[in-house]
Amino acid sequence: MKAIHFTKIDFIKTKQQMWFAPIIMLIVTVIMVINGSSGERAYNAATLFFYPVFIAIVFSTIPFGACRREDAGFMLMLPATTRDRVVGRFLYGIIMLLLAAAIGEICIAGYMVLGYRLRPMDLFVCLIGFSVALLLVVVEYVFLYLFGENQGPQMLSLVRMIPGMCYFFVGLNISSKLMEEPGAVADAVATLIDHLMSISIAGVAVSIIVLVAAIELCVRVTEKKDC
Amino acid sequence: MELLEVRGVSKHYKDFSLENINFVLPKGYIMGYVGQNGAGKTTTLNLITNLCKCTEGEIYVDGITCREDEVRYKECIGYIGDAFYYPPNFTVKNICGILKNFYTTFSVEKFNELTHKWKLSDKMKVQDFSRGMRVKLMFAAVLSRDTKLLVLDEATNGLDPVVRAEVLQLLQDYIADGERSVIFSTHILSDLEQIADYIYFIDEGKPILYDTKDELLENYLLVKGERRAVTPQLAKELIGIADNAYGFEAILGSDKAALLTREMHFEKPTIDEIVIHYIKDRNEPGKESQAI
Amino acid sequence: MRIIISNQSELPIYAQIKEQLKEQILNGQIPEGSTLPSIRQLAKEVGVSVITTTRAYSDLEAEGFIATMQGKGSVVLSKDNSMVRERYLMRIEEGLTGAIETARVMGLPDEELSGIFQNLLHDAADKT
Repeated sequence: MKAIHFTKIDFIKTKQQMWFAPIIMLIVTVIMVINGSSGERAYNAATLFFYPVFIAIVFSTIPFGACRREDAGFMLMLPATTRDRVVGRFLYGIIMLLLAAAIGEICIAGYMVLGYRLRPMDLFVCLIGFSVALLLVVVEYVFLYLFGENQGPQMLSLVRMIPGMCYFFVGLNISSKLMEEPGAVADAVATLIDHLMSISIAGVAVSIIVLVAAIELCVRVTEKKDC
Repeated sequence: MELLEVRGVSKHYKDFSLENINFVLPKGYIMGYVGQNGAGKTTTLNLITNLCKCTEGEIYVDGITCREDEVRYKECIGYIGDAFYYPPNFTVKNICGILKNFYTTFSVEKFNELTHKWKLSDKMKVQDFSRGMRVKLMFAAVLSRDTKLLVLDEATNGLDPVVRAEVLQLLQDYIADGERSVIFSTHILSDLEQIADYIYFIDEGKPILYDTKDELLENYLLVKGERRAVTPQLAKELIGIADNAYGFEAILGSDKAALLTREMHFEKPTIDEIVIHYIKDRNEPGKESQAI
Repeated sequence: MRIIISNQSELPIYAQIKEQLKEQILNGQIPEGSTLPSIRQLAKEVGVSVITTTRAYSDLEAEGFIATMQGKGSVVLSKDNSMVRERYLMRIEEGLTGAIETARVMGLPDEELSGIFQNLLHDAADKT
């Protein structure tokens, strides 16, 4: 179980930025709760969930940027296998997402206190949102493991921002469409909603399978790599 | 029993090649790995620590290769780099916590004792440490656990003479029980020259000299004199002739001492002088480069 | 026991250690039967390489000054040891030969030289 110790190193390394992440998540979500709880532009609960998760997607790539060449003498000399290192890094991303999800749930709870009535639909949309987020983080990580080594900070911020942005805008749009105007979208969407539960469970399952495959791929690639 | 065995190791990069490095370092001895900047010292040490992988050849530490058991291999190596390798925002406490998690033989008491002795603040971030404190911290970390081999890459660079002397003492303490060995790379030999048992000298990725330090010092003479007094036979044997307006200086194998005439002055060289003249010799056009 | 390493000396370091130990064994500062520090300990204290001290010790052993025994370390041998006695004799001969050569250079008659020698012997006897 040396992987979790690598996760810990990543967290200590990124401590400064890490403090930042939950604070942004909280502040922005609280503003959304307050703004959105009244009037006709009321958000649905799932939207509240998306914001912290979006922040997590953006922040989960920070450890890659925090790896300096000089660190090798310390990090690579630790008695552990490449698998431990890679799994540890993925755990960082997963923990970030879980943290974000928890904050999202807290905000939904706050929303309920303000008078929102939670529907089962909200939960399923959150689940789908979570698995999509996990997939995006996996894509980011695989990309950074494959090509990230010698790229500059611009590359890193691109990899960091594009999936996050896609997630945020597309996710927000779709989820509000789904929730607010099911009649306005096609019948297909209606059937989608009917199967929301199975879709969400399938989504989680798929993302976990992809996660495992991605870790395997990254371990192989990193083992082959040489300075 | 050999603690470190480097067998036919080569490493090829686009613009640099390290070729056919062979040596053994027995238990309880210190080896100085010598060469100019860019000669391949760091590359060799990185191959030993498995920070890079050999293109050819095998490296054994305490009888095993890194491929056989990466975790055990790395447990028994203590590495101190030229660059300070702890992340800048870590504190000594953070580092202690991590080392404890990873190394089975790590002793928190020993670590605290050393950091306390060397006045390394527990709570300060390591980025605020001076060069001397950084080197001491790296030493505290490797000396707090059970290692067999210390790998030092230019570890004494930029240290003041007092700390350098302390480091030498540490290395001698380390090998004192005859079970553990040290390999260090350097391009400034003067202070490490005394404690090194073996010298391995490379230039442009190729091995040039490899012997015990005492043999090396005895096998060569530093010759000085006037250029016109050099006979043709002697000129062939002199290594790395450095001319100045009033005379020359070169290295000569002790076994060729009979070629010296009365007008020549000779004395015992330092390792530095041997190295300088060998490099000069290799840079001379038309001379066949010698390699062991 | 006292060992001082000089970097200015023309003697290699192992020879410096050897000569100084020999000197102290011969003049009794290191008594016979005593144990010398281990090779590694000496190397550490003096700040020289292990191989250097090993060489000094093995030379001393070859010349009959010390004997290294497994587990007991290096013990200083008795000066009655014939090898040491021989070395003493050699030293005396060297000194006397030097005196004779000097006498020849200045053309001093042999009788006068032996007179000087007798006088010196007397002086030395008086001192002790």
